[in-house]
Amino acid sequence: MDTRSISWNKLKKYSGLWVAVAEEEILTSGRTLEEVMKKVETSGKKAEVFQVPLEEEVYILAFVFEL
Amino acid sequence: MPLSLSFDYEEIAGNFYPIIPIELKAKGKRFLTRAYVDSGANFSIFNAEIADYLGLDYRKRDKIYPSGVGGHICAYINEIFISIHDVEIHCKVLFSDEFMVKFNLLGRAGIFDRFRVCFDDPEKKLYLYEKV
Repeated sequence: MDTRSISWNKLKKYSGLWVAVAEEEILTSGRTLEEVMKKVETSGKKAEVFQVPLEEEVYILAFVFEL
Repeated sequence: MPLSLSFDYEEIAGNFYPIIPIELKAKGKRFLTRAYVDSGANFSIFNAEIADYLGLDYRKRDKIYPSGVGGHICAYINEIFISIHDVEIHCKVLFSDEFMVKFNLLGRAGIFDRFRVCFDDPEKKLYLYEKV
């Protein structure tokens, strides 16, 4: 199984926001997950929903969680 | 037959990361999202807004203070199902409203028990081999 998704070029202008992606296109975006999910549910489409990181944020992905 | 899955790393600002689609399930609700596969994380961790969407009263669960390079945050251990492709895994995960990084992190608990995980950085591919 191979999976492909939306490119960073399409995503970067949404940095810091929640986005919903359906069929490799931005379906909707918003500051809160709640508002995005309302639009997704209204659309009836199956969408992947996530926050778009800030460019500088990718450099702090060295989290090591220990309990 | 056990699944073999391959995922292309995703490009973010010129760098490539092992980010894969997953589905979270709890209380009859489903949330399709993507997560950074982090072999250095004991637990998966998600923004608390996702717990709210799933209808989880996540703050009623055990509270812990996991540490990372950014210091300690407050998080709550909850049990949900995570699906990767057709494989559904019952997992303990963390939800936190102090988790400021805009990535879902997919850590080892539950996930690395179910799959052999191969990071192929030269080819920018992540492979998951289901264990049986």
